[in-house]
Amino acid sequence: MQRQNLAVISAILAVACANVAKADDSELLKRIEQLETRINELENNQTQIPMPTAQATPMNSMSAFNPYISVVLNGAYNYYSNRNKEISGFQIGEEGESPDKGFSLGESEINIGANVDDKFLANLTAAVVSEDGDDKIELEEAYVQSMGLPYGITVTAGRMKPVFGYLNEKHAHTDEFADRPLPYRVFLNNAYRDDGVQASVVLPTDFYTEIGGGLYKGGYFPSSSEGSGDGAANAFVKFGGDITDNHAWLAGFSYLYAKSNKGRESDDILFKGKDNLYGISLKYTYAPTGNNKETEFALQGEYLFRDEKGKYNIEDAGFEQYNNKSSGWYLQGTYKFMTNWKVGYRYAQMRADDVSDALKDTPLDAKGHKPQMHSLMVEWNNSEFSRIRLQYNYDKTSKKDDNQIVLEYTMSFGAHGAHSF
Amino acid sequence: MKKFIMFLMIAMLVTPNSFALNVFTCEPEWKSLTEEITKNTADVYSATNASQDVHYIQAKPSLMAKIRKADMVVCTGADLEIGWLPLILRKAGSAKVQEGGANLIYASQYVTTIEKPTRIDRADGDVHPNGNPHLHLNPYNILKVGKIIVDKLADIDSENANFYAQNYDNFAAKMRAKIKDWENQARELNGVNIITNHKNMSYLFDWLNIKTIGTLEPKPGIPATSKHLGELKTLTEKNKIAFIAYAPFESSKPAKWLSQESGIKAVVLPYTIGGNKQVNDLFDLFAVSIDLMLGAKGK
Repeated sequence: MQRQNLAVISAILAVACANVAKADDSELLKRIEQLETRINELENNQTQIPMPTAQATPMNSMSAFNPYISVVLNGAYNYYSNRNKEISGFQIGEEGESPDKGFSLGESEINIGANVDDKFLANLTAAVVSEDGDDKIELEEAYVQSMGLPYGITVTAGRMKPVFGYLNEKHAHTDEFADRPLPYRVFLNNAYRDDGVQASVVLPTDFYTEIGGGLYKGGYFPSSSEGSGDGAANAFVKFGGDITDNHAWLAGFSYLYAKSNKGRESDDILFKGKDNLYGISLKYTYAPTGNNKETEFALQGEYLFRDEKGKYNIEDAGFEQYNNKSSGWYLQGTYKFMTNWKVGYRYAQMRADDVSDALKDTPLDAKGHKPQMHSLMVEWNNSEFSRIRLQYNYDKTSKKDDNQIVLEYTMSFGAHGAHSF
Repeated sequence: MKKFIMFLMIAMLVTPNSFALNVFTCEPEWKSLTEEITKNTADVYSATNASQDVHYIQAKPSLMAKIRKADMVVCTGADLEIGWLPLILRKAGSAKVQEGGANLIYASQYVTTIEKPTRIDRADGDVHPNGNPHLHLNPYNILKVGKIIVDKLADIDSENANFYAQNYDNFAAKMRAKIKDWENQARELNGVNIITNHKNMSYLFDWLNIKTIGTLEPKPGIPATSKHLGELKTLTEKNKIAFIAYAPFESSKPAKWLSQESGIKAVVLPYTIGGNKQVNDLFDLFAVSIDLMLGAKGK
């Protein structure tokens, strides 16, 4: 390499000399000086930059595990002074009920995923839950997803938690409180999951805009369909961005259609009909200097509105037509005041519709009572992977006033989890 | 006319800045390096700034909007951005910038990482299996990564390949000359002992042969405890320590406490571009860091 260069340079010099033979000496000397500098530069280049080549190190080590596995263990102790099993005016699903008193294992979750190839990724989340003394495995998610499709399109197929509001698609262990807020417990049985296809597009706008929607079998609360392929459908639009480096926000509007022609059943209440559920959600975070590791304030709120048409059969008393409009909302604030500590407050409220005479004195008759809940929590995170949380709920979801205390741990291990917004 | 206006609106929505190359970088050092090569011809964005701890960033909506338009992505890798980069890439990145895609550059792939743990266990704190990812604080690494960026830019935008190559050559020549100056200037720091908050400036210390004999964090990612600080105080009594260093996004409390107790100066080093008002490019980053360390060390 060195030798070749020198040969080339001598050749150039020779040619240069021949060409400038007639020019005066000073010009010739100048040219030679220039060439010498050039040689020095070339030599420097050769000795000082070894050509970088890819080494058998780095990248994100997630991909070193094929598939990657992460496990989340969750356990709690629940105390109730006067437990309300029902939420006045509503039929609620099994998971929307408050957890058993005393010690209980929450959802122990196993997540396995990988890039299948350059175009698909797959993810499987199984939760082991204990219900009435039986341990059951629930398939929370089992989906394949496209990667890198043009125009910002993503297609997801399989078992998933469709996008609805802010919380539905999120795993419960990433929540800021031990329990889901009332509107999610009532309208979505904590979280609606189903089998189907969902597509979304991230638009090339300056602030974040995503639109999407999907079709589902309708196999899970709030749907209960015979599986004709149109049991449920969702549509959503999300916007978000930053205001300076210190503020970030995300807003969403979503819609869920759920058909129950087979009959949605829980606690001796059977419903046949259709739900149209609408949601507005907002999340905002503020971190002084933009550094959320030390301090962060987060505000999150959602309003859900349900337009339900159909008939209810309560304790086999026969079907009664009950077209109703109900709603619920919550607003929560959390404040991380030190790297390891966070406190939060949440208020949630529901409003049921008035019932017809035939449904008087049934669980659907709220008798003007507005279910409400105040929650206070404090949590300690030893690291990104472990959390211990103490939460107090003042629960007025039914006629009784209930003081609840929850102490819970959440530990995640295995592949590094995502910091979703 | 109506059709024309519609077309204009759609065109504006779909192709803002379509003439400029969009480069998404994860950290300010890669933004600065890319800009040395593209000058003002590309739209270069940094996902984070000097006051943020990069590891803890969330997959914010603004990042998804930015990566959606990226023609090229330059990040550190080695797990530094593992909490958020895979998520935003999946959600909004084009095929070319996906994991394994042609236009995704992980700097850590092209340099030799240091402090690779021999034991991968989170009982040791938030360990990075692929070694220390804060590799930009060694100027030789900057030259290597710059070479990769310039080659990639030539691939993507071959029309301007010569322009990029010329800019890189100028930058590299200046950097090489400066490295010699800095190395001479920092001779006084050769072999001194220091304490740092977290091992995020190891490449700087490694380059200048400065020995880190303690960290304010008891374990990586675990904040300082009073017990551990007490132990460090004993360490300062037994060893000659030149200074205590920490980064702009880290709490100054533990460093200041130890400084007060031991009489050793605590110094906040810029860490990256913007980490200090005087640091506007990569040359400033090394020059200011060395000045600050020499000042803190004293005679």
